[in-house]
Amino acid sequence: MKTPAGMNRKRLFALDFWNIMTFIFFVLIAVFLVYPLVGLLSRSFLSGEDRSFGLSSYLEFFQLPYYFSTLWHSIILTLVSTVLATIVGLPMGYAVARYDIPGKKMLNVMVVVSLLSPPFIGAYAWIVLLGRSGFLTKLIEPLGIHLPSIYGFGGMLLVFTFKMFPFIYMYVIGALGSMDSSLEEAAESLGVHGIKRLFTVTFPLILPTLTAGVVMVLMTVLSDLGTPMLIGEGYKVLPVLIYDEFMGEMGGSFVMASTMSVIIIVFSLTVLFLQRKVIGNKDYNMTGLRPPSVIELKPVSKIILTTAVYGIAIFALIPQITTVVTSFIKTHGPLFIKGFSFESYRYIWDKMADSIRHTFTYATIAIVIMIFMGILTAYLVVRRKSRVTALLDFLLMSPYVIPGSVLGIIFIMAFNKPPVILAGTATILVISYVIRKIPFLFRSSIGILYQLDPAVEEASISLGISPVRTFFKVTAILMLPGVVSGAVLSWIASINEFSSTIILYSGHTKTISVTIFTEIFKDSYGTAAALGTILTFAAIVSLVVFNKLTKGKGSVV
Amino acid sequence: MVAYLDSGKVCHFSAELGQESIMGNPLYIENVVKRFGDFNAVDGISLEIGEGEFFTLLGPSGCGKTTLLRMIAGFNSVDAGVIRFKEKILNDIPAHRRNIGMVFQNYAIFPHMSVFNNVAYGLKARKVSKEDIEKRVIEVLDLVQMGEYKDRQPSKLSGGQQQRIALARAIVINPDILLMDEPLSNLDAKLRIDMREVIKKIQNNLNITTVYVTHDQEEALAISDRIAVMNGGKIQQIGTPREIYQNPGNTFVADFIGTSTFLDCILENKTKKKSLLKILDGSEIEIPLQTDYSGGAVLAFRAEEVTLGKPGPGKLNGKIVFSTFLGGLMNYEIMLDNDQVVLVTEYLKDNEIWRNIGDEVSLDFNMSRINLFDAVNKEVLV
Repeated sequence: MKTPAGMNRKRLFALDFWNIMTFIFFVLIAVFLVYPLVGLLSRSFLSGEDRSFGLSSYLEFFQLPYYFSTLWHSIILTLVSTVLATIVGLPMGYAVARYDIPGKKMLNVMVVVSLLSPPFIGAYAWIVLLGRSGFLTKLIEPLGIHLPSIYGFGGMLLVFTFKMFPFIYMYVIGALGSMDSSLEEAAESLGVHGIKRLFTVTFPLILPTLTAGVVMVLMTVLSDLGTPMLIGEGYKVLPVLIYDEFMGEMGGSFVMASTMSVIIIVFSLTVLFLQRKVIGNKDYNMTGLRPPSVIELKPVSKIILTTAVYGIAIFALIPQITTVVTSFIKTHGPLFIKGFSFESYRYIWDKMADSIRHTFTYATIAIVIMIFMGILTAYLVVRRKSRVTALLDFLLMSPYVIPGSVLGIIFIMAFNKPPVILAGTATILVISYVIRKIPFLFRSSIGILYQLDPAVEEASISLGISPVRTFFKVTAILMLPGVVSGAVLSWIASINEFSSTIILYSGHTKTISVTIFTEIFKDSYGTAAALGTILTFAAIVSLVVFNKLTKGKGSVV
Repeated sequence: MVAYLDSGKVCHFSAELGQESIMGNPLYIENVVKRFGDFNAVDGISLEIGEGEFFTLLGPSGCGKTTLLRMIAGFNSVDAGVIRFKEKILNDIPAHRRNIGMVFQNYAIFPHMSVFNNVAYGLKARKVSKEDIEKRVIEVLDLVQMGEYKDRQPSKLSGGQQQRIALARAIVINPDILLMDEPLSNLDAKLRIDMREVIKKIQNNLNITTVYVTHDQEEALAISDRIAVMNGGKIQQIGTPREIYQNPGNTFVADFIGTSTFLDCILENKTKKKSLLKILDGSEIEIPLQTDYSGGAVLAFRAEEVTLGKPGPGKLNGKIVFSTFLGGLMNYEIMLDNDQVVLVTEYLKDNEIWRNIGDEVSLDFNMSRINLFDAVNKEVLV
């Protein structure tokens, strides 16, 4: 007798653990991602007094230079910053990976530390140094030297280039380290060497990884709200305009804010789509059996190259150093007085302990949820491949193209009215962190799961442990190193989160990054610096703990 | 009739199933099919494997042997047919309730557990008492000669040692059946031979019913009680290693086991016990063949099953075109008059003649060792 059809039906609808989990994740994504996004999309098409369906808001955007120019500004700023970051990061990564530059570990630590704080703290530090009443500005003014303004396009380029090149640098180092030297040797033996080999073998091989880094930089610059708010001034970019329109008291601008949000998401999607087009299926999974050997330099070239890479690393650290130093200087509002003190720290301890507590509480809750979700969803996507789990994969990665400010806006619009009222609560902040930062953790969990041999799980099952228990006893534990390296990134990104928090916070859910911002606007530079120092310090401690936990075997980025 | 019960419950054998096959043979596979899309990876296979038997599924990659093994293990579902162990129909029993031990190609050792805990893992799942676990783990580790490594981490072990642990872990639970999926293919040549003996001796001592998968015919011949040669999802021949080697049932088996040379020929039946074999124009060999078949045929023989002689009329003549010295033996490539090249092995202890390239020789067959197949169906002619 043949009853396979009956068996299949039973399997399809079986209420097993994984089907229940899939269902729960889809419900959560539907409520906290799809529903708000659909709301945004439909609102962007409202038009006129009667709020009927129409394209008038889009027409307005593309016809009025006031709106349209910001899109142009955003595109130019994003592209130029990314190109500059690549011009700095790519050669530096190549030089450090391939030549005998002394103190590579130290150099990597410097680069990592320079990218630990949110970009707007970099902007703030440059204001402290080169702003209108900046430290250096005041110092050299008597000499009659006028430095170019830190405000506007140029200033933002400076901030983004030196904030973003570390990403390119880390990706390049990673890709070059996992490349097998035999490939280059093969080119060499075929008579291709020098620059030609670099452009025909080496660069094409690291291109997939490099473009992943480039896209990450593009997305970050495009969506950053804090930096242009602080130093953009006349050079308005899209996230700032969205924020202004939304926070402005006029009801009509809700529609325009939605329209602009849709436009920025479409632009991000285009970038991602182009990257996929360029890379296609070119995923060179290299094992790096024998990484290329480090080339010894002649003394003169060695000195020049070493000076250059350390120079860049130190320059990139200036914002961090400035932040830490100013946090210990006596201040009087925006004025720094001679002498050191812990005054700023005492002040934040008395008045702003709440925001510190909030930051770490929310980020901790968010990261715990992210770890659970990341492990379970990665398993679903990798080990239980189907159209349903492919959709789950797509949905979980989609927050990658939603700028923080946009996520903030769609959350407010979706959850400030029944059935779900969350506006102003801590819950909404935690959920926004989970949604926005889970792609890091999700990707690294998927990465490690692909490296795990399914036979290990099958061994456990054949020894009598049910598949679900096998998942918790074997798979989840073996996934941890990969999960943790993603979690460190997600955690640091969560404690630094600014663009959605600035929209979602309320009086009693302020976080450090939001407080820094309001302090800068109140001209209390000392307290802002002290809070910034706390963030950087927390990020460094997280990395050190991570390295201890994985005994140096894990890697971030 | 097959009763499909809820998965998870032990399915009891229903009376309609063929009673006679239960006797003696604990593992019973009937008309089993596995489909991947339109492709039948396992295409209606039937087998019976006896108590304590070492049974090997042998075939080239993609022949369905691993798929069949994973169906027995419970990792691949059964699309049609029945897999039964004694009275228990396994089809719908989930893998973790089958009490089957499995050894994997890449060991699948739990990297986060010590050697001891790897082996104890299945016993803990069976709620065995702590003292018993300790006792049984140490016993089985001694059996695979790994007793002194019990506190090691797996990352500190070689491939061969890891495979011993994998074997210990699979047999410590007293499985009903032991499944092995190319367990030696990741080891180097010498270790492979050592491990193959370890496996064979342990299997013999414990008398575990074993199904072993390999693509290595030498390994299969050395280790098995019986072999099923598979190709294209179907069984080509089942038999003892000797039967399979000496009397291949079709040209696929003859070619896959110990590489044969095939020569097209014509068979003419003369009398009841005599046939005439025409290989090339001019070479006619009389053979004692108990068949009345006449027509196109394929002659198959292995390199060591022919001897070289002086060329002459009526014989199968050729010229040496290449020779390889391999210590105790010589391999010659001989080009026949029709330009077909035949490989012949000559053992130096039997023959001190040093042959040169260009020498004219004849091929003399050992009539009891050659095999003849009909040219159409490629099935053996007896």
